[in-house]
Amino acid sequence: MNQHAPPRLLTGVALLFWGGLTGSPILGLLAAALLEARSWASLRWEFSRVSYVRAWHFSVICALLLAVVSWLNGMKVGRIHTLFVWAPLTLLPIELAQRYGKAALIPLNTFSFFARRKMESDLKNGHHTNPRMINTGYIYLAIVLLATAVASRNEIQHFVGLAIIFGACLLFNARQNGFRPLAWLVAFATIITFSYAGHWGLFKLYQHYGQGGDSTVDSRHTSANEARTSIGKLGRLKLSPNIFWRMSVADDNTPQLLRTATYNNYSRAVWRNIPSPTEEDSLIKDDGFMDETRIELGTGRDIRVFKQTSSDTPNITGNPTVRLVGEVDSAVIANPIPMPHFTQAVGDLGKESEVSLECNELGTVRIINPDYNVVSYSIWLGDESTTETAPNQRHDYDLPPEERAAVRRVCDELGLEKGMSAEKIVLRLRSHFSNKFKYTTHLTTPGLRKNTRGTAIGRFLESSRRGHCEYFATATALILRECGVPARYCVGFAVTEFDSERDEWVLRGKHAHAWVRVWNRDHWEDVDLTPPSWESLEEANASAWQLKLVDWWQRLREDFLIWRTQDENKTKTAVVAGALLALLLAWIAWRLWKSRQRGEKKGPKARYQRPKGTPQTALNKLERRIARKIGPRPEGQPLCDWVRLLETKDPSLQSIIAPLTQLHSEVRFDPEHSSEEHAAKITELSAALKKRLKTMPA
Amino acid sequence: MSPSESATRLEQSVCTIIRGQEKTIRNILACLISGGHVLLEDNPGTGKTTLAKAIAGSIKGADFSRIQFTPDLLPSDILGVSILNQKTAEFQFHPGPVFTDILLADEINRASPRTQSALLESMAEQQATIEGKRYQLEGLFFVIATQNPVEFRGTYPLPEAQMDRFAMQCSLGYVSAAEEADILASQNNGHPLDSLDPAVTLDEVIALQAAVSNIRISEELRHYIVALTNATRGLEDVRLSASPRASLSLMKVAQALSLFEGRDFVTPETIQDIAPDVIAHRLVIAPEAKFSGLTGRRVVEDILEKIPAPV
Repeated sequence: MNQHAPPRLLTGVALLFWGGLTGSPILGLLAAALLEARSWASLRWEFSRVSYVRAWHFSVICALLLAVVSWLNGMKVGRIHTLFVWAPLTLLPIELAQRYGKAALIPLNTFSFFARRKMESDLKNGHHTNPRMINTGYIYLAIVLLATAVASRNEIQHFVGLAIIFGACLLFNARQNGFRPLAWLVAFATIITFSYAGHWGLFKLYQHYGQGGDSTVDSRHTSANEARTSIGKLGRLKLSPNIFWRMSVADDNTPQLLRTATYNNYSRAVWRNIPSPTEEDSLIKDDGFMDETRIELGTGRDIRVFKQTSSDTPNITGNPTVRLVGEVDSAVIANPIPMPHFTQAVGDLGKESEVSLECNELGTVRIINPDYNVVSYSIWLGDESTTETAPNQRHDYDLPPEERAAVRRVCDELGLEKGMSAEKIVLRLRSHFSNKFKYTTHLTTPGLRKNTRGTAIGRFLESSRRGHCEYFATATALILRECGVPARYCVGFAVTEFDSERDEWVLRGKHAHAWVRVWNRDHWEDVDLTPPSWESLEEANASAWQLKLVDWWQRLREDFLIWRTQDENKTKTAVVAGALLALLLAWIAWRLWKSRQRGEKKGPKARYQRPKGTPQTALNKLERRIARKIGPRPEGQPLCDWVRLLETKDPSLQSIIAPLTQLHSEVRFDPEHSSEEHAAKITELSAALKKRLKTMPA
Repeated sequence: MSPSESATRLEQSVCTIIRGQEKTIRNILACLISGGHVLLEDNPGTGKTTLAKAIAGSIKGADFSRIQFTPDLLPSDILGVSILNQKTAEFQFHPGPVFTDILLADEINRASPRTQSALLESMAEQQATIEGKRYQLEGLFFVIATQNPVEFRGTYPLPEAQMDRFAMQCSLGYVSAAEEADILASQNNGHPLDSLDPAVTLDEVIALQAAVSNIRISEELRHYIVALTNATRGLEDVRLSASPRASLSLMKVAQALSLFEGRDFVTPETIQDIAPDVIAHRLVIAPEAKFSGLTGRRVVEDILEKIPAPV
């Protein structure tokens, strides 16, 4: 047993544990079997220094491939550390080389290009080199345990499992260097306590800082139930230039605004969605969302509709008008997705997939359980909105009391009063806003604080008259409500950038917009009173060559992912990837086989053959019986040496074995001076040994 | 007295001085009576000089001399020099330390190759040629050379030809703590060397050398020895492999060792026992393989595992 390597089976157990916790028990089992088979297989390779370097490179390539595939599968670059969970697999090649190679230790500079270069130049110049040698066994074991910890960092029972494996490790080491139970127990308890305390502390720290500020929340993720606006905050509003969604439109009827989420209740810079009370047993969930209905049209397409306003199946003919591709956060169960006005049906989400859609009475549509971070869907447009309900008496007229006074004054100033038509109010407001207000992303209107009078919206309306779309939309909604016109606040994207090369509309972070849905007699209408200058202002900040590169990458990745997840391409990619993998494995196996051949050629040739007709003794004939007790005799070991191993199992055999081996040597290697008597004595002693062997345990 | 008895007495005598090294001492003594020379690669203070002195002291009438090799040592410092005698007006030869029975060549790799080579002829042919005249080295001539494995600065590694002249290379190494404590106790009242009585006479040792050739070795085992040395040839990682001289030394040392073991024939166990010490130092390992941790000893151990042993 190699003293540098961890004890037999320990790494295997750790790998099984890892497999169990990461949800890939078969991979864990395979890796464990591959590594632990070493103890039973006699197969060994005489790897050269270069072979270890190749194994290491292979490990690195595996890790890179894993990163690329995960990225193509929609993993965010910022979450690359989560790939550490797979380190036991990616590092398997180098660990296998260590285990199946003949050398107990490999040079540490295998893992460093520069250290290798230095050593090569040293060798070339005839300097003495003394590279540090290591066995990767314990390092690998530690990595498996760490990966397991990463996979299960919040659960106590997994910590117990880890502690047991770690304890076994410690126990093995302690036994090698003289075992003192009390010292071992104290060391084990101390380490476990400290590591648990450290773990807990880190977790608390993470909780404290990781979830402290909402400002760090990924801007791509919009909540369907709450929108925290920047109203009342100071500083510069930063908008991402990256592409969030791409939209292709079949006809000329391009929607101007794409709505991601709609809200009906405003209070202190936060817009919320407050659902109407529902009856028990209703299909509508607590937060106001209800499931889609899948319809069959016989076209083989997967189409979903939302029946809230009409009980009839919407009249869907022909191809969808709009198709959208973009990113959501697959770690979040529900993601609101942008929808044009007058959506009739949504489809082409993937027939087999578990993805479903939900819609609420405000017309917010969200995607549930997306398989990947990239989703694509088609939309059929119609003449009326099927997703929104008529105004709700309670929520769609509601005005927060602290805003009322300022809003009232503005209404009085503009001569707006209850009973006026929505068109008239909007017209007056539009001219008011475009004449006297300025669009800016520099937030200068302070919010509601203690000891100050007024609110951010009040100050925006009456004094500062500067702000961005959230101010304009919120103010518009509040003024309309004050005049008795139902209004809702919605967020989404303004469709302004057309990519003529690819014939599609591009929705970037900076196109994110907020506006108002207004009830005009019998239907909801989009009203956007932000001064039109906002778009040109945003455009001025953009477009550099880096952005083009980023766009190109993102499109490539999204298109590839969409292509890959289509049913007909799924099998294709699986077959191609499988074939490539099989080829690679076959190539490695061939190389290893070849190198084994080479190793045999390189190794000493067994040119010496026992001459024929050499005298045999009765002891020679016992070889097979003895092998059953102490295992087969290695080829290079002389018989007498090997037979003496029996004495370690049963010291009383010495009285037989000592004279027997002596006589055997005489007869075999000094035949001219041995006599018939010797042969007879050997036969007698061998018979005695045979008898003893029968009663001896194996 | 039978050869086996005198061998045992010689061994016991040396073992009273050097503690805890029974196996190495037996191998070195086997080397002595097989007519070979031994190279000790060892750290300072492990008892190399004491060993040489103990061997000399155990043999009645054996001369012992010691040469401390230094970079400025000259061949004449080893072999001897002729000096003009003013009275007789003739050159008179003053023999150097090489004219002895037991020669300790301490830190042999510190001298220049030229000086090292002065020993070559003596070791191989038991004679010295000085100023064109040949001198036979009478009686026993046994060289124990030492070199330090940890120092590399200012040394001249022994040339391969010189390495091949040594029948064996071995090392004493450090002894166990208990044995080291024994050494301390034994040296409390003077050095045991001072009170060492010779166990055998020089003639007895020369008789032992003659007795070695009477130890029988079967043809099968001769083939086995040749197979072992042959296996070192043609290996990719070995630049210089074992010579026929290695086979010869292996046979002779195995015969001598059998004498110590009280047998008058050689067994494969004895050959395996001594093979790494006899073969390993003659091999030159390729630098790359050396870097991967391959040593001559490992090559030999590998060969011993792979060549089927006579059973």
